[in-house]
Amino acid sequence: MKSPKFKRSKINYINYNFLIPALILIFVFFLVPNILNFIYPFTDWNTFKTELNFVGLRNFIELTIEKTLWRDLLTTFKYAIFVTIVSNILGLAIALALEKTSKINGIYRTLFFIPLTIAPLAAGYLFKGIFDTDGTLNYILSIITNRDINFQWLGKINIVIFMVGLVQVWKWLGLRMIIYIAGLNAIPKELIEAAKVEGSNFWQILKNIQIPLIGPSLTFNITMSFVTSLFVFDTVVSMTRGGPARASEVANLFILYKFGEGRFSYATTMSLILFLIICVVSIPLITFFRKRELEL
Amino acid sequence: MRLRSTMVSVIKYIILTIFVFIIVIFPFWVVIINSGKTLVEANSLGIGLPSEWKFIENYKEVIIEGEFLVGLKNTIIITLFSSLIILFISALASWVFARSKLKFISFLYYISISGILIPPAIITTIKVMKTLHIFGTCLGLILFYCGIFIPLAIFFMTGFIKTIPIELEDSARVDGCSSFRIFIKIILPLLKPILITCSIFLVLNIWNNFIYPFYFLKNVDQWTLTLNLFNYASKFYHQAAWNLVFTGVILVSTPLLIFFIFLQKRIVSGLLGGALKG
Repeated sequence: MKSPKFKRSKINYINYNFLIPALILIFVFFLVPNILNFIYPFTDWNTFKTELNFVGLRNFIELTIEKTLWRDLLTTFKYAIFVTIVSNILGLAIALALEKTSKINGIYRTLFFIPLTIAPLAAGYLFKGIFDTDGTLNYILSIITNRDINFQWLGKINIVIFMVGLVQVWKWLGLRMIIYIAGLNAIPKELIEAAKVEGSNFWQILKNIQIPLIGPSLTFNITMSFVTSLFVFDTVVSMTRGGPARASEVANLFILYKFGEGRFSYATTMSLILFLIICVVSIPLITFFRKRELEL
Repeated sequence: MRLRSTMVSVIKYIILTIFVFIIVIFPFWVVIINSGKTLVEANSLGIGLPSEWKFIENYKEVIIEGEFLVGLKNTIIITLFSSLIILFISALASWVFARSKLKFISFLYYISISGILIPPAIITTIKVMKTLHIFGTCLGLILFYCGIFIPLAIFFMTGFIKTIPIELEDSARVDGCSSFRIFIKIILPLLKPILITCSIFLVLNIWNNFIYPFYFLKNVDQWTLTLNLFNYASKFYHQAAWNLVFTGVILVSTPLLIFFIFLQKRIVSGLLGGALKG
């Protein structure tokens, strides 16, 4: 199709120098810190002494004995699983309702989009006010039930992490929705029409046509909501600061507290474990969904 | 049949309206209305109108006490410069990534986009910044944002450039244009839709970011709006003053809300288009 001469001219004008600024910035501010993060967890780096010694697995052992590391990881996992499930089910449901492009649907889409513009930290303060023991939710429940309701939404160790999770669901719902809408709109209309003619109902179309065909949206949404949830920080800081009784202390708060105590190697140990978890979780997630896409 | 589908549609919109009311309108109402009340009245966190309107007093107090104007200036500078640098540098790199067929370059591409999922390591980043003497400065934070957001920008832009026919560039090449001129004259204008999608993403993320300024900035005169809000609200952590905290919440959110209201069509369709391509 193409003569060798033409091909050469194509390759020649690629100026590889154009990669340099991007590669330098990624290298210095992303790769180097992550590479260093493979070294410091095996040292005794802290604020109390100047020299640095390798201590092998001591940090991991000490943190295991201390129990905080695994407890905080478990809390983070509970949070991430809750957020992933709720935000994707709700996001998909709203996307199905607003799938068609029309004026009224555009207004609803815009409304669901507004929380995306709110800083997670600010959203945390907003919902702290609503979920507070003296907050708006209890105020309204008291009026409805005509009784004095003083439920501690953020004060119960069993539910606090899920209440914080609801704020993340709220904040990102619009993005989940828009990505599912993009996926749904990419499905050929004839497929749905044909299924309707054959008498398929809503659930059959959803299960057999729509869900299998929005693979890329599912992959993106599920992976992104899970991975970003593992790094939640802002909303927890503004709503609970890890309380009550450290029941909402997530991985990033662990890092903050250990950093604040000057135990830098402990903080990097948690960072490294999170890094490995992301690799373990996201690679299978992505390959699983990619494989399903290929099968279809 | 037609009647039934109309009924279903009506019920659908009733449910949607209730839902929108609960999750969007209600929280905004609570925060706006309570930001205009007196301390005592706001602390009962009711949903009624203020008996005594204190909007101006509250906003004045929070803007001055919380140093929000300095924060606003810093946030604008950091968001603007980070976004522009990221967009330009990513577009340059993406052009090479999209057109090159070399194995080594595609290896570099995968290394570059690994930053989409892999999070930055904060504590060791501080170490790197201290070595470079940019820890605690806005410059350090801007360069850091570049390092962590260029990966996603490259991912979106590379995919987009691959859909642009190469013949457009070839003709310019024959005319003797330099690579950089081809980039400026041909590639950059064609990238407009994806540049819009990326800049929306960048502005939303950088403006609202809290954790990185929290770790990487030191002095009050460098603080971003989220840091102002955090420090101001922390004063009232044990002794509630919801009118002032909510005022802070609004001060942080309003600039982006205005940005959103003016650009809402572009934003929704921009993200919809970007999501389709990605």
